[in-house]
Amino acid sequence: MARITSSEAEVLYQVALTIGSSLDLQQMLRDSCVALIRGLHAYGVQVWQYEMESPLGDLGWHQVFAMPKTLAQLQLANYDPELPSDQASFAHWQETLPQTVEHDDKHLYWFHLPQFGVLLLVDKGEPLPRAMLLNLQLLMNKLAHAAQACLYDQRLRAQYQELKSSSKAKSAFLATVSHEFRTPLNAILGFSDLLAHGNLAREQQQQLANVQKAAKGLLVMVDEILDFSKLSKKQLALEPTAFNLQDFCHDLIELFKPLAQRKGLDLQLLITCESETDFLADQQRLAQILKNLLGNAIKFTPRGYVLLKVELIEQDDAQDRSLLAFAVEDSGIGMSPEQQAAVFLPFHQADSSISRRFGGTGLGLSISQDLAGLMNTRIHLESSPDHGSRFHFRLWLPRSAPQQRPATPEPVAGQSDAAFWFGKTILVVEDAELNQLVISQYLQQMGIEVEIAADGFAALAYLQHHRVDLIFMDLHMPGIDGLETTERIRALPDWPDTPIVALTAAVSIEDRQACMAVGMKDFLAKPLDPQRLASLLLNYLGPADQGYMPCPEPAPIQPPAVDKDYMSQPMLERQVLEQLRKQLGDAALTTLLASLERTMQQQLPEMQRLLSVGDIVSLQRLAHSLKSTAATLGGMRVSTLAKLIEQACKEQARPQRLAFLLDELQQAWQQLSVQLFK
Amino acid sequence: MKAHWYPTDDLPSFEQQLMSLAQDGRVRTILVFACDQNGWLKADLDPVLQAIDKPVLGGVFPQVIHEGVSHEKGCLVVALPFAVKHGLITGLSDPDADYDQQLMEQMETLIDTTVSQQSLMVWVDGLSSRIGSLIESIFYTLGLSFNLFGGGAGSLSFEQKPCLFDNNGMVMDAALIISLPIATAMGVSHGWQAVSEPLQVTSAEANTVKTLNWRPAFDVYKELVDSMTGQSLTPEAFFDTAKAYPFGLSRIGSEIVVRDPLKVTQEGHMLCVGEVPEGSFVKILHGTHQSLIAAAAETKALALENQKHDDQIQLAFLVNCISRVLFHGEHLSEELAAVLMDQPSIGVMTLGEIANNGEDFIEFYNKTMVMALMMRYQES
Repeated sequence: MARITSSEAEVLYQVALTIGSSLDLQQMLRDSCVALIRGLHAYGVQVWQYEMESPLGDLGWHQVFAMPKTLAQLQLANYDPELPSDQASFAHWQETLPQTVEHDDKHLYWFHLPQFGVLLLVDKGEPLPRAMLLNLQLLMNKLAHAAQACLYDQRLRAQYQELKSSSKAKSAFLATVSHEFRTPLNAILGFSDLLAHGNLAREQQQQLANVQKAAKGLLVMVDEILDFSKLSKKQLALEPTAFNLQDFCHDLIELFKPLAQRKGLDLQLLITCESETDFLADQQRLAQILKNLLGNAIKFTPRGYVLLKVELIEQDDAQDRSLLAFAVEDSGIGMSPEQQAAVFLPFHQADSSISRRFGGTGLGLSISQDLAGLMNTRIHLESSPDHGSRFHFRLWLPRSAPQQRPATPEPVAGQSDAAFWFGKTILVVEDAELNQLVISQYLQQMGIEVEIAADGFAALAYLQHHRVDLIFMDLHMPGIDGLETTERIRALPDWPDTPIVALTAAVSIEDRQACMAVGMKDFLAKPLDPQRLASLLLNYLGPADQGYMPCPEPAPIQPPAVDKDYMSQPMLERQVLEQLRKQLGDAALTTLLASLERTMQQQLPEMQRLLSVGDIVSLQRLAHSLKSTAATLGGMRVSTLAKLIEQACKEQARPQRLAFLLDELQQAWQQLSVQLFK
Repeated sequence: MKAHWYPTDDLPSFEQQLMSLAQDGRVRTILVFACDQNGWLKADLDPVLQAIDKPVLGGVFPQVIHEGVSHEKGCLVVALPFAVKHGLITGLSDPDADYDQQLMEQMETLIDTTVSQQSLMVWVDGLSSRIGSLIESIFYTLGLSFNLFGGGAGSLSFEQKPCLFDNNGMVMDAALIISLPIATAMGVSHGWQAVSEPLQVTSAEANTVKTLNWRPAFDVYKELVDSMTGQSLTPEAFFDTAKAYPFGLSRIGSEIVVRDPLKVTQEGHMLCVGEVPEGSFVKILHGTHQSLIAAAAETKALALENQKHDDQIQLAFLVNCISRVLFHGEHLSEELAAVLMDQPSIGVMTLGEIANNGEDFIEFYNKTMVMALMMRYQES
């Protein structure tokens, strides 16, 4: 065979270097064909790939690459490459390759790309020597392998994408199913709670307790699956709020005390942090991690102790933050290194007998680790079989100004059990009908004349012609809000000094300053605390007339503060309802409940409508009003959800989140109404 | 199609000339080829270009050729009696720029499908680092349908600055593609001969040759050139010697493609005008005044050979490498005389030349002479 020239060898080498340069078929073919065309100073290249179109060996051809990019650009007039239509004729043809076809003034070189197709090189001038053609064919064999590798990679990627989509679909299915499970579960819990308050035989009580326990366990599992799917879809975002670390830890310990006591375990809290220090963190998620660790510690500790330890490690005054070390230690059964290696994996438990013995989804620690990841930390584990376990993590937390603690009810000086202020008139400026009713009932029972204004304009109109001794002013109202109404009242000639007290569910320092700036004197939190109300009245109306009440009433129970963890909130705080019944009477309570039902029936569809038209400001106002209305009657979960919706509106949360919360609110109301009216 | 030579670097005078040309109803498009030493700044030239209500397209070049004489100052203006299509490709040194996409997006404004004859002028910022990739994209996208010629605009100071323009003003690191509705005939030649064995480019990035035969490029180059010149090549006086010893890339069935080494980096890498593919083989070339002048005559002969019977030459446009000017010195006039035609002859001295006669892969040349014979415009 004739030898190739050094120039030809150089071109072959350059082409060889470009073969397999990329796993992207187009890029790889382009690199190789550019080297080929450039080196041979050629006209152009086309590559065809075949596909088996039938088991009988029919072939289908399609062009996968061309440079220049169309056949027309190759200017091959009247040349129609007739590619073999079946495997047999292709086998026959490929034996003749490489092949040169003369066409007009051009040379068309056909090369075989084994198990892939064919390549057509078009050139002008002197024909390529046979030796060069055969060497090029060797490179074409390599090019075909590289092209197959590209296709293989492409198929792998497609399969990977398919698997990924399928995994995504499974996560979405899990999330949907879990969410759907919660509705009937909440109904089971709500109705069983209702049943528990009825007259049941001892055996039935026990059976019901078992139903409740199972349902609560199931709810925890469903929530874990929901969290897991949210975390795996990266849909879970932290919502930091200010909190007191001491209170937070004590509350956690209190929560687990009964469980630990039942197992005879010593549950201890060791905290080395100033009690006045408050921090910013997503309390609900931090609590979720620690609850999971404490729950596991108690679950897997047959005897001995469980310790929650929180240490202050470092203060960073420049950034106003602290490094805290959280640890949960126990003297339990511990884990082998193999078990430790897998303990944070989802759906994993140390061994299969664990799930039989202890139950659970095996998601808790995986979720906790993912949540820790969201907080930019990592949970570490030290453990050995029969020598207990220690889960620990460190967290930088921004410091926050100390929060206002719930005020201890002030003793009312000169007041025994009840007080009356006959002849006094109070104007209540409040848009929520139920709140109007509640405060009216309280004030009227104290002998006070009550005038109601449903908004700021009504208040201003009333005050043009009437005198009052005190004004209670809601802050959030349609039209002009409480602040503006107060300003306008202060500008009226006869009302510069009349005390105005803000009626509000919760006040930030900024709200408080704004209230003071417009001339308000004080605050009264919703739901109402009668003792705080009496104390206020004493301050602003003077000493009361005493002694007319035949028997003293116990102080009402303040409903627990609303919490973001709405599922942990009781659907109905019956003590609140009972207290209202005792203080206001059956008739008033019935009126209040009817008012609540009316309000909810009007407001829930309205809230949905507002969301659908994107009127978030009005939605926030309705949620705000609903928050205190529901809490007043002990509907703590509804109240919490209303608060969450208000907060979400304020933070301009995504519509999906608002829709989710509204959905939850609707369900919570359905369950609450069952408990209230049936 | 008429060429005007303005020997002045005075911008207001040029502006006046441009204005009066623009007012001529027969003129549809104005091409401007200005000398770098005019010192026209973007801030001053942009308002002039923006004020003209006819398309003004062109660039700034190291020198401009008019009737066999190369000028360092002044301006060549070509008044065209027809409209042209044009487009601007940006990011000519940007490693992430996608020229295929830019060309596809501008296809309608670039190519006139209604005319029977079409030739492309491609002017690039000669100090950009991805000219080869653009050329490859032009070949891939536009194919073999057009004759194509042009080259690198810019300054011999090798400082990259705005050097191409249209009515919007001056730009840098870009390419200006002008589609002329006329036929052309092309000739390309350089006259450089290989004087070394092939050297393998074992490491290169765009227009930087890092290693040759797995050793620092400059060390290998210096050894070979020192043995040819009998002198010691230094990085400082690099270009004085290197201008006579460029690299050559092998092509089968075609002349060697010259790559002009411009300078040596501190790492011993060699910076060239135009990309040198990694894995390619280069030879060291050398030429004489005679071989280059003979090549110039061949360029003209090839162009005339490619002229079709019914074509009527109206203008001879020369794209000649500025390094040939530096190489020739006083012999340059002989080279330019060798390509003089009976028809008006104009041209530019460039940083790299681009040519294709519609018959094979488009090349970006160095140290090469390209002659484009521009034929009479025939209305469709």
